[in-house]
Amino acid sequence: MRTQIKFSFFFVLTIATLILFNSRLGQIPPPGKFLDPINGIWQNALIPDIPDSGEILAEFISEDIKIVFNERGVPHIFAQNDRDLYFAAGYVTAMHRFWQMEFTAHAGLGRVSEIVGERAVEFDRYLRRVGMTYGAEKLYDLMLKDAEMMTILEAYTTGVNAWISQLKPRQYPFEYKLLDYEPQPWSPMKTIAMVMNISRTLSLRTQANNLTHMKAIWGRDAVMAFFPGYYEGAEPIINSNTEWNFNLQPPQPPEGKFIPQFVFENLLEDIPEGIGSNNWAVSPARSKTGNALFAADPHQPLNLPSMWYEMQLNAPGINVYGVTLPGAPSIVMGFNNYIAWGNTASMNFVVDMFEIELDDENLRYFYENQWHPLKLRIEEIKVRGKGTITDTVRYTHHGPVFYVDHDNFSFGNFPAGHAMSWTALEPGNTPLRALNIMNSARDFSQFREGLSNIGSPPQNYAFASVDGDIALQTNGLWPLRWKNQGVFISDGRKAEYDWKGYIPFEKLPYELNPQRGFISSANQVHTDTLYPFYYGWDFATHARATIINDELRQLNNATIKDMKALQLNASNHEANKWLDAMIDSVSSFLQKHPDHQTEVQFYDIIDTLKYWNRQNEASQIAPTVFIHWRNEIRKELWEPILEPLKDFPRLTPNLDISFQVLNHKQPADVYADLIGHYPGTAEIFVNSLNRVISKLSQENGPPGENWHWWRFNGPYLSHMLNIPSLGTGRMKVDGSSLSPNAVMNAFGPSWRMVAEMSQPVKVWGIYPGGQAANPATIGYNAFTNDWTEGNYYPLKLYDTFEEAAADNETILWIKSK
Amino acid sequence: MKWILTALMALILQIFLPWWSIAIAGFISGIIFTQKPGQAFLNGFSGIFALWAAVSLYIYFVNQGLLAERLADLFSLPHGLLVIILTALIGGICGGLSAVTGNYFSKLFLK
Repeated sequence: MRTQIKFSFFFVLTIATLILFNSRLGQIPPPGKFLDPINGIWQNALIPDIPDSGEILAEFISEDIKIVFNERGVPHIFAQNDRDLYFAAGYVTAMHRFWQMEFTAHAGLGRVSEIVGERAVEFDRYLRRVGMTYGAEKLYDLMLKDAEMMTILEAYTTGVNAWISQLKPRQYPFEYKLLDYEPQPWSPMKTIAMVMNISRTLSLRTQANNLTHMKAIWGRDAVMAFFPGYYEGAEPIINSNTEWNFNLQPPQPPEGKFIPQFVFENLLEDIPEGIGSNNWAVSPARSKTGNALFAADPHQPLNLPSMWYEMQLNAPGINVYGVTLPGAPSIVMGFNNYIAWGNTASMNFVVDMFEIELDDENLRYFYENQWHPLKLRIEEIKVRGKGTITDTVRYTHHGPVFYVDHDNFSFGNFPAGHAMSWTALEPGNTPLRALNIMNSARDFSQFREGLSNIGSPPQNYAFASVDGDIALQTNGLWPLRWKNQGVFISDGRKAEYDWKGYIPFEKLPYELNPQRGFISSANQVHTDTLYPFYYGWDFATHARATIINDELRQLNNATIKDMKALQLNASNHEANKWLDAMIDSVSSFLQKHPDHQTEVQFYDIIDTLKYWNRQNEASQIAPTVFIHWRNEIRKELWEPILEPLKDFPRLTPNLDISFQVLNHKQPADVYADLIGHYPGTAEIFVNSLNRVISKLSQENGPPGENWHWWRFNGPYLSHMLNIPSLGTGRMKVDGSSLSPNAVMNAFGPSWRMVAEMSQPVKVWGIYPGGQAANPATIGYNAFTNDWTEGNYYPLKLYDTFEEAAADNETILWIKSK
Repeated sequence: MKWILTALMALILQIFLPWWSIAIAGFISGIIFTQKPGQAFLNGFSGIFALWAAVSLYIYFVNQGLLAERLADLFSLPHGLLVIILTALIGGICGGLSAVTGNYFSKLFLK
């Protein structure tokens, strides 16, 4: 009897323990399953970053494929036809990056809750409400009509799935074990999701809500003056005074005035200080060797796994090297034997917000004096461990209505009762076709033709070729607008506010071999005011563009070394432009007011600033003080304007405008009209510096190492799941969000590439992170150190398998079964 | 010696089955070896503890502690080697408990 009880007790205890150790406890992975050294996470430490040489057999492919891995894990793929080529591309990308691919695709389709559970439901709903799944389906329908691209997409998908199907549970990537779930098959739709994702991160933004609130308080003219978009004397992307020979007329503005009827809502979202990208090219005439030079460094959130994956694709008709977004079959930025290209985000308006009048049942909307039915789209969101929830998204002819009300939930800076038009949801957009053409383009006209297929996102492409051409080309659907259309919320009841077509691709801002001998872009405004169409105001300040263009103008014998140095340039444009005057102003104010209270270290700090070399160097105090100071100045300057809006969406005018006003230049008159006087500039300078010194001292002790710039701004890599132990700490890197080396917190140059367009092309590049995205091995973060130190790796485009094999040791053969 | 056999049995089972197969090994060892329940626990515990410690220690060295340090950080442990101890303890507990269960099972049904 006693034995029986003891047996039962231990039997139950054993089973209970096994169940406990097999279950997730909150965010903690199942301890037994996870820590099991034979099947669990320990096994991930044994997965090689670069696979061993060998052979694998595969169905589907028609000829042998040879993949040569270099010492950094970059695959050079040699295939005999496109189908085999993209099969292999899918296979190797999955091998190094499958978890990232799948997670990103889920983020693109509003399916994150499927993986992480309830805490992502709001995010998923938000993604559904802005039309991510709707847009993806539209894109997919378009793809179906392009048989050649579908073949490529299916080959890629088959390659990814071939990798998944040979995977044993003990080899599941790190994050699957951490979150305790399983890889699912890839599909063409998931590749489409990558496209929607990139459109979202680069172009889903509008300030219409903020500015409309500001307009309600301060009036239209004041808002237009504080957010002008174009600045006298600042260089646009395209050379000023370019002649545009257009016959097209922009649409007529509406005659009546629209007074929005929305109620004030508190929907604040922090908008981080602009972080953008750079690209440029130098003409053969201005380069030392007589070959065109090229440089591109897009700035994005610095994630682990890195958003980029490096590879070479080689098959008859194509030979291209560069970086791709894992999940997409083609090279997104890179080079071939003829051309090099790289892009920066274009900040033109592609999102408009419309006030919508709904009926009481939320089934119809009022438009042109009639009620029109809303199209209802039912979105199903699977939630891990909780079943499926549904959400209804209402569509007008403008686009989706984000929120009917905020009773249920809200996300982001979107007011209720408003619809959005967004170019990513419009037809006429086949980015995968575009990349495919661009990958094998041999000159600017072919490249341009390819690019004309990308409707969203809009970008600025820098281009250089071995023929010696350099060019800057924008792309995308740019809605035709009357002047200032879209600055404020539009009236969704009237046809006058509808989008009425797009600027034809040929008429989009571009330039080929301009007189000045270089092209460049840094997210600033594209053209001067002579361009016949209005396209927005919300561009990056001119800091990066000015530093880059001033440097390029000086370089008469430019070299690759100069290109690298300019990418790593950490200059502080505002300090160069304003600091001397600021210090003078402070000194003379204090001479006139000797009793004015100042912090103990005030004069030491002034000296530090005076003798500062105006570089945002990681281990200097001056950039910390200066950047905090100018932020504080900007805050104090606009305080009287923003105070009445403190509970509502609002926007602080940028630094360019702030300094104009501080110097009592336009729009200082507008400012003075609103609050009754001009800003007391010198006093603002003194008081804000005082406050900065006091705050920095309180938080970091007396000036010293704790004040070094990198401690406030140094970039860090953050894992996509935001798990600190899978990311890095802050790194000592020179730069700031407004330097060409635009590093700031979790942002920075996610890919740096420079090229000399000789024959053969000579190219260098680097990204932070590593090819093999396995947090258990060294490869995870293999390039980051070199990236922080400003080193570059040579990028080799091999013409033949034999050349690649002679240079490298690892060869993976995929043989046809 | 009994614990070595338990470890070997678990190793073989684990190559084909998920982690919980260590309990099968523990259970069987509890049945086939005649011993007191306390000894059974000790043998099951030491067998799996040793197996999981040995394999994770091997991986620790091959991997130069990289993964262990990351996991230590993840679980707020001060050192990577503690992850090995944690791993071995979790395995050991399952091995010990299942061995005792096996021991009582044999006393109850096989005598």
